[in-house]
Amino acid sequence: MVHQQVTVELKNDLSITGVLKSVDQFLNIRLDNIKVLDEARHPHMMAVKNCFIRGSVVRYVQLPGDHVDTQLLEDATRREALNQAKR
Amino acid sequence: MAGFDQKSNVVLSESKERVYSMDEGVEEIPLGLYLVKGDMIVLIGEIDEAVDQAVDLSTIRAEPIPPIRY
Repeated sequence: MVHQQVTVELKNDLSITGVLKSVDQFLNIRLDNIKVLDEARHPHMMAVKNCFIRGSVVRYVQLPGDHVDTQLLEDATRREALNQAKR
Repeated sequence: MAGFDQKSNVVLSESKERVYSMDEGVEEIPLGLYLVKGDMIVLIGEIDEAVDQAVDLSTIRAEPIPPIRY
């Protein structure tokens, strides 16, 4: 999913859109070319282009739907459910 | 940024605090050398100096950013 346009909703109700650069084991996120949604109300980050978001403050990451392979995910969950049922 | 570690603790030199309010322009408080604990950090942003310099902070009115609610 790297290099996709994503929107990160923070636990302080701020939403930030940007190009996903990297994610680490804490789910810290690095975004490029960021834009704060509702910029008129939150001009604090006007001069910020690239940022690091701490994983612990992220509520949601909105991914572009057409880049998520739902078929793959559904198949994987069905397989897992089947395995659970067998045990 | 003078340093950082695994837990996203950060050491800032020549740091400044910016206080946003609706009643007056942005107040900038010089703080100097600070160690910020990682668990208090929401976001670290790289400032585009050119854009930052072009903005007149005294004209900016804004609500403070809401606090984190877990």
